[in-house]
Amino acid sequence: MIQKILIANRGEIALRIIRSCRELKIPTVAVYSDADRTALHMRYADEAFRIGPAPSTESYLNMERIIDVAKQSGADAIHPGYGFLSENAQFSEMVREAGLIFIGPDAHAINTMGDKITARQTMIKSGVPVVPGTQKNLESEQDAQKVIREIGLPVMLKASAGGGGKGMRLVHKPEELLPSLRAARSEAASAFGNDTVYIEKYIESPHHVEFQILGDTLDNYIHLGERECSVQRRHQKVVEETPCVLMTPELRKEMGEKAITAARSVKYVGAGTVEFLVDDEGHYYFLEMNTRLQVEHPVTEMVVGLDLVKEQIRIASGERLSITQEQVQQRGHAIECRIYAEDPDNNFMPSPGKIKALREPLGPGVRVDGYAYSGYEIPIHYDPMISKLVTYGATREEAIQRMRRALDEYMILSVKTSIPFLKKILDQKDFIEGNYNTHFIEKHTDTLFSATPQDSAEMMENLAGIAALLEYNHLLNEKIKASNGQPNGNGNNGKSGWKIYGRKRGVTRL
Amino acid sequence: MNEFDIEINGRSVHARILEFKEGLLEVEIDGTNHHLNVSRVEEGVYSFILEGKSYEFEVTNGVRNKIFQVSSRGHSWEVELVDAETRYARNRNKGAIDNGQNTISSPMPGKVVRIPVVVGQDVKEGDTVIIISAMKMESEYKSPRNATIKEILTEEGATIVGHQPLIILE
Repeated sequence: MIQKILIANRGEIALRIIRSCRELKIPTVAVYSDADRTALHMRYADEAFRIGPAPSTESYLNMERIIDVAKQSGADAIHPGYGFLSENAQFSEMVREAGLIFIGPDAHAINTMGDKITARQTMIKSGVPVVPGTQKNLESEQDAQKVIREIGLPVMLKASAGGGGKGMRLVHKPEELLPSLRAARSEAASAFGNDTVYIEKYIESPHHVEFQILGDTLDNYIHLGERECSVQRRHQKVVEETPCVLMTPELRKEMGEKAITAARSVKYVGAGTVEFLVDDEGHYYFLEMNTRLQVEHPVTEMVVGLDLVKEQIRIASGERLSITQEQVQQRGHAIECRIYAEDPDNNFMPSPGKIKALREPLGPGVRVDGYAYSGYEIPIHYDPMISKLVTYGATREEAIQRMRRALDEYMILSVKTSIPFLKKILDQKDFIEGNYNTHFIEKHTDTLFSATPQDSAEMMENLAGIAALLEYNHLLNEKIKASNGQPNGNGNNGKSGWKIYGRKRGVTRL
Repeated sequence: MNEFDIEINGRSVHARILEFKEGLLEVEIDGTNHHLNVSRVEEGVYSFILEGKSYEFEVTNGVRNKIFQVSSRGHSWEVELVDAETRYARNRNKGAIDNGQNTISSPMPGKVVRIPVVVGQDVKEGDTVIIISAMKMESEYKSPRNATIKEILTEEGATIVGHQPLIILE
């Protein structure tokens, strides 16, 4: 078994991994940048090492430095989390060459699946259905125009090294092609350091359904069912759930087997996710394989009752999977909402800053994977996700009811969050009925993006006004107390604090 | 703190504090008296009990120091405390030329990625004048009208705070 794990990540995922390690009594090593000296992951780990300045290129992406820290601290394994170095084949290789265990797949699997074009070709060879499109890199703009004449519009442009919606553009009209291509290229270059872009036929009214798979070093593979991730904004997942309303036991079995075929084709070891597009008729197409632990893995954990991080650690230690396919059972229903530091009333502008007060929801069927705390300042340098709120229920209806209740309970003061937007999604009739696809947010723009309705009673408004007044008064008193507490000569010029208090009161004249 | 106007989502009410001691607040709002049991239970969080009903309000400071964002169970309100100073400032600003159309700023803190314009350059409405990055997201700020770049107050690579003037148009 692995003796000590370095977590090459930050934020909620670093914390989530440390939690499983702690349960297994495996000591943990955190790494942190200058912007993260106060971050919870480094406070929570057994050991913490500074790895560089705030920009991730100089810290969380600094492979040599991270491996050095692993050696220095005596860690024998590195868990990359998601994002950052998690799908970097070179890093996986470097870790192995350093004599350490990489908790994730080998360079071959990452390279094959990480490059979307190679992945498509591999799937076609293995008999897994794929979306029509190019299987190669677009060499020129003329090349792109030729491809759209062949497969027809609409098409999707995708960064070959991509993920998370970066470097992706939907093209409906011929004249949109070139500007979109240039934008996709430049976004891909800055996000992944690789501007390779390819084209795929765009499937109308698609569902984004993915399968969680696990593979061990002894050639055992299982799938843990699906996750429905169709609620997306700009190709970023917003709400995920399992099981998927569309799914039948037959389709699940068939798609699960295809997902395993996909994983087996690259001798995949570890936890991975095979993404499919599914249309209303149940046709499915391989989209890509994510060779890492996914952000939304907790919904699977809730319904199958397995800790995926522990499974990853078992697998990386060379052990056999803890269950067989026949033992996998989905029980109940789980939903995840991603809570972002973004202002939904202001075009989802990132909203970094200091959290004045924080109260996370608790109670039956609620799980919060987060990393913020009261007084924590969310840095501008990294992803705006604050936490993942997951609710579990015996039925989908109960999971939704719990999610609404939990979103109501969630209090994050002084930073704008996506919570009001998520509430509107949970109240949307189409969502409640499970009648949605990846166009859900676009289709309901009017209700989802309208200002929050203000049908509050006049009395509530008046009380809100009084609360603001009391807070103003409180802040004023704090300020006065602070200046009063200082010795003479320090800003007060020897005047009595009470004199200042009186004067400020006089000037304030509320 | 005994008599004031409060604007709540633009609606103005007149309030008068009659008494406030040991957590009991007697307040007159637009001529009606209320007895409130008040406690500041957490940083910025107020618990009120009014006629047996329990309310909770979360208060955060807005952009300026007398504007507050107040929320309670999914509702939120903008509350402005209007005092003599605020009234004076409002009167003074009437008829001012710069209504914000001449200053480009970002509501969020971040880093300047690129400034594709130079001082003296003519720009059209909708032209990008500055690109800001925060939390892996790049936002383009566009000119609201046809104008000339009068001043550039920052530079590429600089870290900026929210609402800081970045570019002045003429």
